Amino acid sequence: MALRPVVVTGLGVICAIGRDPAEFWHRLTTGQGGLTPIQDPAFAVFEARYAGQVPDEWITGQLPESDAALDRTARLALIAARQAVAQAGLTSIDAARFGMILGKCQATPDAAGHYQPMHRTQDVLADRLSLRGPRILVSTACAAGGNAVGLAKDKILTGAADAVLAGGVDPLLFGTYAGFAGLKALSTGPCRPYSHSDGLNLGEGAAFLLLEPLDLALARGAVPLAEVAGYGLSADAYHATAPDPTGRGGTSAMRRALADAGLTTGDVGYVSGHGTGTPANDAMEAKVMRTVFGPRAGQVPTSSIKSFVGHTLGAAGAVEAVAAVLALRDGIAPPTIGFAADAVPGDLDFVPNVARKLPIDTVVSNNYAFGGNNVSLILTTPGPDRAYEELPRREAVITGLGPVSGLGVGIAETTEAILAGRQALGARPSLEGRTFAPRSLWRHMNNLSRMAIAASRLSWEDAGLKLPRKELDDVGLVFATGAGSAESTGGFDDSIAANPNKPAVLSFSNVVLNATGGAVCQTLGLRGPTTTICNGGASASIALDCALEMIRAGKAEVVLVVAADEHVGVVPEGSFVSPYDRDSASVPGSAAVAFVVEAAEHCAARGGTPYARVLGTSHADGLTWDERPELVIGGGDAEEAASVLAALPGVPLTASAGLTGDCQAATGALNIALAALAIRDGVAPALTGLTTPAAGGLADYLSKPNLPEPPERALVLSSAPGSVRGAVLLGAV
Amino acid sequence: MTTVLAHVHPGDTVYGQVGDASVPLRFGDLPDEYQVLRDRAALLDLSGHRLIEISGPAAVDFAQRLLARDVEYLTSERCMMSLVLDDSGQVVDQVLAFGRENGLLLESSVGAGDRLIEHLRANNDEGVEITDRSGDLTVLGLEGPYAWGVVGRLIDGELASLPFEAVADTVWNDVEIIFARTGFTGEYGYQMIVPIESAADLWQASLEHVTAAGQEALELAMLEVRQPIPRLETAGGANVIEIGANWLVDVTKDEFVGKEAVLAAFESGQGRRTVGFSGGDTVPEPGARVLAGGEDVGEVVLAVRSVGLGATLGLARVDAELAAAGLEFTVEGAGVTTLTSPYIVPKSWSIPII
Repeated sequence: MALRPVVVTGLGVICAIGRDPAEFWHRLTTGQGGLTPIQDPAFAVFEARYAGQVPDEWITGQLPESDAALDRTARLALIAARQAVAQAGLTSIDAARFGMILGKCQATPDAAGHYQPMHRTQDVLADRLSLRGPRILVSTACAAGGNAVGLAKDKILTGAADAVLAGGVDPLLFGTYAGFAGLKALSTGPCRPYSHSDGLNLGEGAAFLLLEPLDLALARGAVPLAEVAGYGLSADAYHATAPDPTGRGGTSAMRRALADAGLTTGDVGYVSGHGTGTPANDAMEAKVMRTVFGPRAGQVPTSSIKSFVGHTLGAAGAVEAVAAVLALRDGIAPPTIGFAADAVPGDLDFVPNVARKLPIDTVVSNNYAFGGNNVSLILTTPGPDRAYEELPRREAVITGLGPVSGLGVGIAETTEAILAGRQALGARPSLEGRTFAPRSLWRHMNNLSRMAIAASRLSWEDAGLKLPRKELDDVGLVFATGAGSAESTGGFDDSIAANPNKPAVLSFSNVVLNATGGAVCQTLGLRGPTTTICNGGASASIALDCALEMIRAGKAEVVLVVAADEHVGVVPEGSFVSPYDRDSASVPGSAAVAFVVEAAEHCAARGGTPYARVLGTSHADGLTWDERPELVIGGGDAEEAASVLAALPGVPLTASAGLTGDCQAATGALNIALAALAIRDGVAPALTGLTTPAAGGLADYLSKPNLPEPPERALVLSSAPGSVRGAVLLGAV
Repeated sequence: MTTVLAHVHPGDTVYGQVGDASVPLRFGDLPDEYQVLRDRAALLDLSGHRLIEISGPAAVDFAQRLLARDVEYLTSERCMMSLVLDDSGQVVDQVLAFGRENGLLLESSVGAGDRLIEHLRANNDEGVEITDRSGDLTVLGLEGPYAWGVVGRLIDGELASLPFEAVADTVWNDVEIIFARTGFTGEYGYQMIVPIESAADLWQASLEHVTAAGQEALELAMLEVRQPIPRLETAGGANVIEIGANWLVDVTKDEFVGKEAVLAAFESGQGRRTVGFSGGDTVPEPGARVLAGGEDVGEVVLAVRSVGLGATLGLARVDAELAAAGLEFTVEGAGVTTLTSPYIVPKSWSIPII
């Protein structure tokens, strides 16, 4: 079956070797690297000094005065995004059909140096560029940029968007530098991947690719630069920072990508490697090449442009995808520079030092990340306009619930607490007395991972899933979090403040947002497609969307969606919290919630009992539903109440944040889980404390947890303030 | 119990009874077999290790209670070594536990199968199925600094770089085998659990790449890296702490058979400790006295002639405060020096798998 071809029509990049794609490509093909000693005196405390830095004048020279006050991350991203849109010549498009998937590894500071939500950069860009379509912040650490391009393709295939900006951005941050130095992962000179693998250099930058369907691109006279033929995701399920030494994860990502693209290894002309220059990465990658290509491995050139620009983390996959598109266009493989002249000649061709002209019709671009997240992206020379089939629809059901909050651990305790109307505002879940992972792992885990693993295991048990090892290799995992581990981020920041040369390395490995998802994969042995979504309170709703896409595209039959967020520090006591009440305060909370999403036919074949069917999801403007819900569970804000009461008069509205506090992504997931519970068991959280509704009257809200009868359909609403709103409609089976 | 591979071993193979098993002690010359193991890769006939399957709904609960380490979440792609203790904290056996989809598979230490299976059955409160699989399965081992290369040539290069204690269900010559990265000697080590009817074929195919080594070479190399050899080290009622096998128990577990005795031993701090020593021209017998400044401070647990050190190497159990490296003792009139383990540095530590 041929699906709708998706092409790249615009490129944008800014990094250490270029302020735009032309300069970037010129330096790549002429071997002019950009790794230089860091001038900022703060970095003088480190022995390793080289990095791929973007000169300030490249930034200021490309931005109008009105953008000057933005933080560095937003400015880098904005430059690359505008370049991509300009090259694509995309001038007239319905804003609601124009989306953005942004990959980012680090929580980056605002212009004043304070942490800001992961998705803030994306919101700034969407505002400036008037994008109102699907918006996803993907944070699979160093695989995020490549992952973003793949998710963008999905958005076009499912018909959610007509154009998507896909890319990545990360600036050079002192803390991250200290963390890599603490892991002894930095090279003291310019890095030399594949030959003198003694460490990496960090870099900074941004890159975007503009993706659109081939038919629409041709119809508006755009020039397709490359086709996004396919992509593959995988989880190592091995270790927080080290790659699986067998290369199993990297191998399956590449094989999945080739299968997705309908290509074979024989079609591949060039591989853009991850090539960080660390011994563990480079050794693992060589294994992946040998395993995937077999006897042909030596005939497939593979190089690392990190030897030019350093490791730009969340941007890396996008920067490398831009290079891959240009490699296809010109039939040139960029070299691995700094390749040691005295390197023992091996069996692989790393394109040492000099760019090479060769016929290339298919490029594979690989990225491997902390948390054991891998992505392979396949780009091909654009083909002619052709007939295609729509992505088939597949029914998906929710089959297992694993809420872990102050209300209880597991769905039975949670149901009991809801029926009793028990409030546990801001309370941490109690996991005393039970370990949910081997003790050797459990004792080193931070709180967020423990909660998430407990939630995952409980949802798995609740679903009654007993899968043989082979099937676990294809079980997907989508992790949703607003801010990741506050405990590890705080611990790491404190250690850097005390002594940048003694960072808390265990905490550092947990600072990446996908670390917890990786820990879940490792503990449960899941090696299917995996990604991490960071769109605040809407994260779980978007994560469910990604899970549905995996199932719809046939990439997984079972996907675990896990959301977790935590609050560290004091929870204000004595606050009046009642969602939708004019006088309600908001209290932060800590929770993890997992639910199992399964292809309906898979569930039926194994005799499982679903809670609910997923009827639809939406994250763009203009929600419309053919079928009217009979219950709405929302985030709890007044604006939401007003619009629900106007659109769905007579449908009871409720929320869970009054019981647990606002647990960001986990609250979004809890509401989805509770909607599923309501549909099957007729139980939902009630707003017993509501006295002065911000909209409507008391009768508009759910006042008793025992529903007269289970609703046929329940709508779940969530939002990331100032960013995305999400809606999920579940129905009875 | 004789080895199922007896018919393929050379006629002049020297066998010996170890516990309930008759195993090849050496196929030829001990120093040669030892050197093969330390320098290249040796093939091991581990048929004296009993394979016991634990299955049924309560298999994991049972194993979690009977094994001293945490096996609650041992997946089918992991294995781990653990002690099995009795109520008094005495070592019943040291097993390799493999997670399986329907329970666990336990591999006993050499010759200890009867005792282990009897202990398991006597403690089967959960009513699990305990099946002796040694009638249809056996174990072959590969050990040595280049054992990974052999794995690549014999089965699949991808398996060679499996992490320590990882397990893969794989196929060799159309036969399903369980393949594990393990290791007893500090060198790269692998085990293959194979149906008995295919064991001889796998043994012969392996011999195209490696040389066989017997139990004597294996145990010598184990001693050199302080890998416990339970039947030789637990004589005389020594407890877990005295034999220095703390790493094979996990006292953070809620409960396991023998836990209270282990905790009591931890808390009392009493008893002797085990330390390695080298020196002297003769090999003292187990039980030989160890003197410090003329005073009796302990006894020899076991001693051998170490090919790697070219000297006598042994373990002594001495007063706790004297169980440290670099002390001078007298054993049977000869001066010996206590050592820190490992007593030789395995070559594998400096050879990467490529």
